Amino acid sequence: MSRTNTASTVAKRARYRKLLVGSVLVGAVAGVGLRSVGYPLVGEALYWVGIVGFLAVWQGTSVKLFDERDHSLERRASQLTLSMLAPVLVVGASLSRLATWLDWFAVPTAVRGALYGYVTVYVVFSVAYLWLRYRS
Amino acid sequence: MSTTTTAGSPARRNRLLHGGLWAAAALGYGVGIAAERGLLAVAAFAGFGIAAIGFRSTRGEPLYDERDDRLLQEASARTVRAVGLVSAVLFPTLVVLDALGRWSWTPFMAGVGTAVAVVYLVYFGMNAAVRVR
Repeated sequence: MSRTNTASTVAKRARYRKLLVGSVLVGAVAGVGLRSVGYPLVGEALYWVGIVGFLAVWQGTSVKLFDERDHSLERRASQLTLSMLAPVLVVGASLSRLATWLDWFAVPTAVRGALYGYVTVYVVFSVAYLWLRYRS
Repeated sequence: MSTTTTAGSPARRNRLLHGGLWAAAALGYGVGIAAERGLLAVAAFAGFGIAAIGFRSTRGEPLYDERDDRLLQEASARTVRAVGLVSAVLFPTLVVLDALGRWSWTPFMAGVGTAVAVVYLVYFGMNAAVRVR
């Protein structure tokens, strides 16, 4: 009986997790697709339907969708992501400045935007880290 | 044996010194850039950075412990979550404003958007990789 209940809970959790991820993915893909064929507003509406679907599944179920193992994997993946991208920012920022100073080529504005985007990510990380360190 | 470090302990001093060297590297770089002395900025960053790496590698014991690792991982997870939440609202809003003719995409903002997209592509890749492992 207990084993049946556990299996049912695991199956439910798998189904809801697929729904959770699926609603965001379908919304995002529909949004990008419709935007690229000239229907940006319909695309945005579908994007938000996906987001609302995500929130509905996330908040509407009594089943615990993510356990401690999932959170641990999320933390590890996040740390690896930021560790991998940090050298890209350091080297990219330095190269873009050297290219400007030494007149190699004009750095495109989009590249500057991308570098500032990465800088913002690491500013957020620094604030989060300092907050966690001095709170604990 | 306890691994807890107290204020003023050698481990804490070493960590502060290591962090201070990296902070000096960043500060030297920023000041050099602001003063339009680019090569000096790179030299300051490289000098302090190499000093920090050298300092860490010559310590007999690990500079950072499991608690530091946990904090770094938690801060990374919160960063990815926060950037994701803000981006999920900001970029679609900009698309709507663009479609309504109240704002238009600039190459700079397109670059910012691309950077965020790359962060999440790498994150999803890493998530899949750590799950497989």
